[in-house]
Amino acid sequence: MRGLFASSQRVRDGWRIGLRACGGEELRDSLVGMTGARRTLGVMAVGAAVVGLVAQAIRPSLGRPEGPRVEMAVPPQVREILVRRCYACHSDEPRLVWWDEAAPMYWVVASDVQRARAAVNYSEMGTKPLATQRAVLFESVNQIELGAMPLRIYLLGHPDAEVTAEELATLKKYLAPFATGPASAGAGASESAHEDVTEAAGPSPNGVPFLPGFANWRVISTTDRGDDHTLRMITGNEIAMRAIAAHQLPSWPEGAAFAKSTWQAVDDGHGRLVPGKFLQVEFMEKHRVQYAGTGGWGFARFVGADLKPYGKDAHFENECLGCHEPVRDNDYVFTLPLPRGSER
Amino acid sequence: MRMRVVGCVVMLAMVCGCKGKKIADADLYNVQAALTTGLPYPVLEWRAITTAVNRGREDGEGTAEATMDTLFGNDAAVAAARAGTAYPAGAVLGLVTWREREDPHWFGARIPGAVVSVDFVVVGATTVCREFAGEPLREVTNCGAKRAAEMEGMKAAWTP
Ligand code: HEC
Ligand code: HEC
Repeated sequence: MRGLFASSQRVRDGWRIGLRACGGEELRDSLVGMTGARRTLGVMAVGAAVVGLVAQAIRPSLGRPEGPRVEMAVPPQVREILVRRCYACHSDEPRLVWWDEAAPMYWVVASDVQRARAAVNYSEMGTKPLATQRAVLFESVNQIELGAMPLRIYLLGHPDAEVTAEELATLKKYLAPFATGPASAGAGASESAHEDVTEAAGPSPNGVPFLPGFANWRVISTTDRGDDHTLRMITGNEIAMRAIAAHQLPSWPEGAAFAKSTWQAVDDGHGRLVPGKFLQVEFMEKHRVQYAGTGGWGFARFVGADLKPYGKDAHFENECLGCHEPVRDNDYVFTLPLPRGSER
Repeated sequence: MRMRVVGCVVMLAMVCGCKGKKIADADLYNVQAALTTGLPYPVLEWRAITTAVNRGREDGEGTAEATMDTLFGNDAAVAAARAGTAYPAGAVLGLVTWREREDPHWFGARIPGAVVSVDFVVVGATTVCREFAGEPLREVTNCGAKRAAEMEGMKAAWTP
């Protein structure tokens, strides 16, 4: 069963890419060549019908997952949108229409629901800390805005499931990331004198190495995050900086690496937000073959001043890839680098 | 066999059909935030000391006057800033100020927009502050002791 899900996922990815870019034209051209194979098709159709009937017996369960069920604490107009557009996959109440109920469609849908629940299940989100719930809502809005959710392939069979511009605006208005400043007003600026730590507290569970010296890399960009009141600086190694100067994007070359350092934003007492406590550093390093399973990038995160590796096991990288997936056309990179080579 | 070939062609067409897709420059680089020519120091080639945000006045929609700075320094400046010691003669600080804009890739984030100014503090027997602004960047003022003291007072962001 597992293998089947995995391959259906890959086929689906092919669909997604194909449909997004080529408007189906190549597809039509290739189908024309099929008319000569009509007899073969007939035989295959009968075979398929038999296999199809037998297949109906194989039904992965979509029962209620374990653990306490608490809905998110959000106003009704926000909840309604999530229920209408997302609960079909991301809740305890999968809503299937009749054509979803027959295998092999059912397998695709069941796999979607299982993977969707594993990523986000709104039916249990209420048990999580408020900050986590808020982070999930921001990720949700961004997945919608970048066209990644609801899944493209799902919209083909359920055209009325798309989030409307009004609904998206409602969600954004509720979240209002810059309406309030950080809570830690008046706190002092960051610690100053320090020893450089050149080692992480341990390896990342997926084996992606810590890259010492990232604080000496050149700056790619900075971000001011109103969703979680942090300031971030994205730096790049030599290979990455050369690729920017040589105008090679979006294909980042082998060995290119980014580090993103995140600090709590604190008010310095003069109306300015400055980096306070160091929260974490995250890396992406490009090795096409070695990291083929995660878009060619090795992901790693090291948390706190002692650089504790993040992740219970190697699966943590699915979190990283999942959120970076909507920018796959940019080689999974969110940041728009400051242009280089024109200054001086 | 025939079906297999046709099937493969279909799949290939779907997967490869997007190869020729061209992404606009503005979707790959932060073109708006580019530093133009006209600066006396290669400030983006320097290491960063810290970053700061001035949220300015909110206009309800967002970014009315908000700016985002990054303080860069030459090697002498970065070493002193990170050690928390006074800047020695020869240290040069460069503060780039951008107007903030919404991040097109992430609702909830703001990133550098157009350049507002670039200020340099050149530490020496007499410390000099020089401000560059406009497009292309031109020296506009001698920004004075107060600004220089402000820039020298920015603490290094702490990184392990
Ligand atoms: C057809 C089923 C389906 C629907 C409907 C759907 N999703 Fe998803 N969603 C998925 C699947 C499957 C994944 C896991 C993706 C993966 O593992 O690659 C996912 C993942 C996510 C994630 C986590 C990102 C990731 O990939 O790890 C977020 C956030 C999300 N969905 C938000 C939403 C929102 C918001 C809606 C409603 C507007 C929505 N989804 C509707 C199937 C669905
Ligand atoms: C909830 C969404 C989300 C998740 C999960 C996530 N990222 Fe990111 N990541 C972002 C966004 C948005 C940016 C753009 C910079 C910013 O504002 O933080 C980014 C930027 C980065 C960058 C700088 C290069 C780039 O793509 O812009 C690195 C490196 C990075 N992330 C690593 C990781 C790692 C490692 C993980 C997993 C441990 C991870 N990310 C998980 C959203 C996410």
